Amino acid sequence: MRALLAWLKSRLDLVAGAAVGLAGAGLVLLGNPRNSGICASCFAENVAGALRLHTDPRMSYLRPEFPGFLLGATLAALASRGFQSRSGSAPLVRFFLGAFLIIGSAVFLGCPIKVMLRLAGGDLTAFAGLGGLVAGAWVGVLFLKKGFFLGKSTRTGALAGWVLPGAMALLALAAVLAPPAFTGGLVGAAREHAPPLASLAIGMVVGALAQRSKFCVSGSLRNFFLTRSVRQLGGLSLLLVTALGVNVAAGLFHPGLYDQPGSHLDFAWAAGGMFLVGLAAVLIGGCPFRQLVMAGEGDADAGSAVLGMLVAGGLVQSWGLRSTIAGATPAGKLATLIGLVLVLATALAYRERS
Amino acid sequence: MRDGCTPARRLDWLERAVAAALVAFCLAAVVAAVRLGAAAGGGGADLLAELRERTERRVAAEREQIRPAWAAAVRGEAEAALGAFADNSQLHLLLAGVYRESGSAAPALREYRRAVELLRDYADRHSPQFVGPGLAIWLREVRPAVSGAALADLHYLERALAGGCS
Repeated sequence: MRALLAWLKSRLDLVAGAAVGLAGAGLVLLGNPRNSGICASCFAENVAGALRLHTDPRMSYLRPEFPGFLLGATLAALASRGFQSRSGSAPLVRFFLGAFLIIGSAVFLGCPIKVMLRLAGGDLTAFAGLGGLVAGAWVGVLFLKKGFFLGKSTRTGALAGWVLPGAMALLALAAVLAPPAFTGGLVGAAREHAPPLASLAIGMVVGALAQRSKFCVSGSLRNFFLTRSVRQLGGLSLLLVTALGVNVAAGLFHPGLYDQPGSHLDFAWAAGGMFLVGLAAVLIGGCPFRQLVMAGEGDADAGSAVLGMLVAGGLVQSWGLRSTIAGATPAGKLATLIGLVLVLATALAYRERS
Repeated sequence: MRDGCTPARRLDWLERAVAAALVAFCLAAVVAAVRLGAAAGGGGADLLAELRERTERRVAAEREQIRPAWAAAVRGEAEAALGAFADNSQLHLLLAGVYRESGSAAPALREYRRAVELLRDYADRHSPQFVGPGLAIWLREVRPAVSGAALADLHYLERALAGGCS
């Protein structure tokens, strides 16, 4: 038993991967939209709607998981004395790259975690997104190997690290206590949600485990390409396996291409959107979920990325920078191309040459 | 963190005043938030009832406005019906039903798709305007008989009915 615990402690990425898979599939059973139990980008759009950054009531709900991820990471970091206010690594660049994480995700219809959850639900269209994500992460690693560096973050005044945890604590309180007139969640996908307290609790547990293990989908791919060790993909594989297991057991596994919830058949743009996400995520050290976790540890630069994510969560809806079930919108295609240009330009501009 | 040797520094008058103001502001904010919440009115059930009522009123008013076109749609005269109201979701839905009854699957699918594109509520199982289970069964029935653009319309409708976050 002791040996097992010690092994688990050494492989917390596996525990976190399994927890994300279980939570992702479990939250669907509790009421979240199908194949979307956990999706940091969908949640960012929902929260942006609740904050009136866009006006589509179908995507407006103050999802408690969103602040839950960050607050769970804060508590875990405090408990392990890992909380440290730090900043100074190109926060404005991270703001825009954080925004493009959400735009790319909106064109695919889901964040990297949702790529795995969609696959676990039998959505074969998600393979296009997976291909784009892997390719984007690979290109990002090429830039890392060529000296890409956004600058060193340094310790800073305590307040900087506490801004987002404080704001998220208020959001979490509002998500649980405020009336539906404020939190939204009355129609469409926003209507589908787990009980707020359960969502918050599950979000906090997942956030805490992700903080301790540094679990991240694009981070796993980055580490794999850097080390060529399949061990780095263990957590990711377990996410897929556990979510698949729950879906099969609950009768939620429906393999197919054409009738999948929250999907479209514009495979090239799905791959393009996820390519943008994979590339940007490797450059700023993690996918949207990981940015939330890092912001919870006191990283104000990741906090800038989270704010960029929230602003983009509003813009993708109000400017139509996304896909619908009919496919990528013209504005979504243009935003993806602009995002690729800007992210690649950033990658070139921030190379440190020896 | 004190090391036990350094005595705790006493707060000066400015720090004490700011601390007192912070406590007062926090308490006032909590009271204001509670009052704001109370003023926002009822729970989800109240809001849903209001939403349902508003939708019914809007649908009735819209139907009154398009009465002549409605009559043309009932007769299956698509051009006459949609002439002045090409973006009216109710007319497209009505036409879809008329085509479906007459056994014309392809134009029915086209009109259903247009209706759902104009108003996603038709495919939203939580909406009072949901046209759901019956449509899903019909889609399964006609699937073997359609191809090309009609099949693409059918797949669109299947994805819309599947829900999800989009």
